[in-house]
Amino acid sequence: MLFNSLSFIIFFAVVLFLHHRPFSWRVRKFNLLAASYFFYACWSPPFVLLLLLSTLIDWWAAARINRHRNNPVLKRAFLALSLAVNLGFLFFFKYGEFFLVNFTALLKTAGVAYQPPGANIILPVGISFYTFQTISYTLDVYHGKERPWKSLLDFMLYVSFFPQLVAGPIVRAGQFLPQCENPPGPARSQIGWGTALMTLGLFEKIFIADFLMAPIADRIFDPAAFPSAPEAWAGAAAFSIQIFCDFAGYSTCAIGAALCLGFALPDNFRYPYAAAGFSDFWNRWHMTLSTWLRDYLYIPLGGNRKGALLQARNLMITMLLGGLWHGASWTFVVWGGLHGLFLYIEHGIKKAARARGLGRPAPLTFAALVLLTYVLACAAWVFFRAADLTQAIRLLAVMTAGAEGRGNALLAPIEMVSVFAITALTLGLHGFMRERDLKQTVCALPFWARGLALGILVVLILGVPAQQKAFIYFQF
Amino acid sequence: MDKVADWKKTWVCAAVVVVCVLFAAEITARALGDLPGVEDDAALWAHWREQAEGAGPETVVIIGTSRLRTDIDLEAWREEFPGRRVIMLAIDGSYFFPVLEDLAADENFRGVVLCDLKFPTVNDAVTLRYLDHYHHQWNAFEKFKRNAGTWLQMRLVLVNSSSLPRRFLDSLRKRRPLSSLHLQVLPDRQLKADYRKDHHQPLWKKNPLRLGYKEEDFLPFLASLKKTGNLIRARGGSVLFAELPTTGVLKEGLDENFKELDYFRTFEKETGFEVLSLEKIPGAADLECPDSSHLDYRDAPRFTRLLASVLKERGLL
Repeated sequence: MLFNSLSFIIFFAVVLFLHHRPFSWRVRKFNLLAASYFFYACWSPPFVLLLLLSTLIDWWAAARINRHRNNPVLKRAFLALSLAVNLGFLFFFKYGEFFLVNFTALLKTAGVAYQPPGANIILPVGISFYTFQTISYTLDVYHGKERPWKSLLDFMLYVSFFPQLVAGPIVRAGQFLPQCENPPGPARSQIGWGTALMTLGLFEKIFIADFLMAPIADRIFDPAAFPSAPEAWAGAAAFSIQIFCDFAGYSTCAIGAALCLGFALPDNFRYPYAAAGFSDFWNRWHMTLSTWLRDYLYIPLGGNRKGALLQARNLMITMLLGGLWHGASWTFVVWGGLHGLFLYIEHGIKKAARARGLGRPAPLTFAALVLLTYVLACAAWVFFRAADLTQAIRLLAVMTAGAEGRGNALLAPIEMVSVFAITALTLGLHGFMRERDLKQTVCALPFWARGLALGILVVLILGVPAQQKAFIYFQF
Repeated sequence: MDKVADWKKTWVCAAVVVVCVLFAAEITARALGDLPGVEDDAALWAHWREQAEGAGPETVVIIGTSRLRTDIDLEAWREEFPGRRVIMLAIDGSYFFPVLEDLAADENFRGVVLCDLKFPTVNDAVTLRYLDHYHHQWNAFEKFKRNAGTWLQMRLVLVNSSSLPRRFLDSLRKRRPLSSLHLQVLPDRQLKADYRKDHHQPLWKKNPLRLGYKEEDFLPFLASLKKTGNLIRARGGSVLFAELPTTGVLKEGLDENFKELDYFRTFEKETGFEVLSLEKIPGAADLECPDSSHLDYRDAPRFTRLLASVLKERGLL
């Protein structure tokens, strides 16, 4: 069930109606839980068991960890069990085939002919997201940052809450579970703002990502296509806008839907194309994943506390695994590696600047840094979108060295102009909103201006030919 | 700033904007010749396939390509055969055999199947997708969506994804000229082709002999057809074949190919099914297909009545 489908609109209307009836809070939470499991079952009913199993094991393991908090061996054993189950599921379903294929290729290079059995593993949707949520809960209890939650109903709702179940934001237990204690107040304005966010998210996904940008990016990233240098740049720019509007659109919808139900979810994007440097970029792009990786991987590895060399190692491990989290493919690994490299270089430059006593850059230098960050992020997106490494390298060669295409124009001049115009508009908008809060900015407008803007968004959403493309991040 | 009343006013304002813009677009699309029509998709096909489930001898199921959808006027057909139900399961650009197999596999199906005389040269991917949709995805919610969609689409031009404003947006995106508005899909899946709104481009510009009507494939095809059709006949149903009018280079090519293969005689001899070639339908060969392959909707009732009179004369229906 996609946010951009009629079935979701009907489903959500029913859930919203039931949620705002004068039932007890417990009944309303149970309704949400039932709705969340139904929502998940719409993809594949058997995988509901996997979700349930992961939830129950973590809830149980966290309780045991807390009970044996004075016994390090047992405490560690229960943590290991929780991690083994969660990461085991993730490894089997998401990376099993990838490792099998690479293992076979490795044996082949060593002269061993090995034919693995056809695995044909189906990836349960949202597994990367809910696994990270449950792992963060167990780790927080292990480190004493959270107390085990008493209500199983609340915990099950935390793991399966349908607005963010399949593609995030990745919510921490401490952000969600306290909201389960008491019903939200009768703040109906949350529905007004929540539906406005859902409309904005759907506009980003349906109109900008799917209708405007996807056809151009698809044409340039077609493995059979040989674009010219400007076309390759236009394709990379189109994909940069597509992936942002697709994923940020989903997150905005999720936050809006949760808000309509009285739950606040953390922000996942804060105008990332206005980032000056890659640390800034990762403070603005998929923030719930980047903070997760920082808190549960980078810092436990040692972070920046053990010297420059180990910091470089930690950064690289974090970003490579972050890349691999997105998908079982070498292209994602390289994408993560590039971001790791950019981050490392940036740390070095910042260190040198600090040593020379340089302060905040002048506005023009700052704008140039933003542009440079965007251009490098765009180049890295080529690996993220390309079918394989060969295609990515070929496209980057065209983009950087101006290697010749085959001469068949893939994009009309008007398409090139529109891609660069939309990109410039997006960058300008991100720059304008960089230090601003969306809700405050929107609410500062008079009601008729908000109504007009929302009306236009709805017309554009309804106006485009129906496609119902799945969100890109569903595959992760 | 964040008051309930403010958001109420905001959404009322948004609703007014949406209604005004959509109303203006609807009026403009109709003024430019767009007509309300049903979304032609796998769900609409599945809806009618379900009606054919376990059908008895009073039901006629039409299978084949788009020509059957344009050339047979179902209203005229119902007037000619008032006691019989007619179900249109023809699929554009597709090959009928998988649908015939599907009907034959339905152990309760005892209806009359009227097929196009198409040789298996076209891809059956669409047919297989439609069949898959019917057998694996056609559930209560799909039915609700389809019925609600049909109801809305016959009332509002804009609801259809191929309505003029959406085509306009699509043509901008795909850098193609605005596609013609000459086709209207009715809820019973009949296609009304109005060639006065079209550019009359012939669909076939080359001799279709090149499409691969080969002698070595013909007899095995007829053998499998006979085997499948006989399953329906054994239960009391029947299978009929009809040739549909063609014009220009397509007609020349088909005539040449049919002659070479001695198509109709071999077809009848090998399968034992009734084959109504155009020669057996007096007056049908004179009908003109503006695009070489399909009749204009104004000629469809005439062809339907000519075909019906032959079917009655021969006691086939």
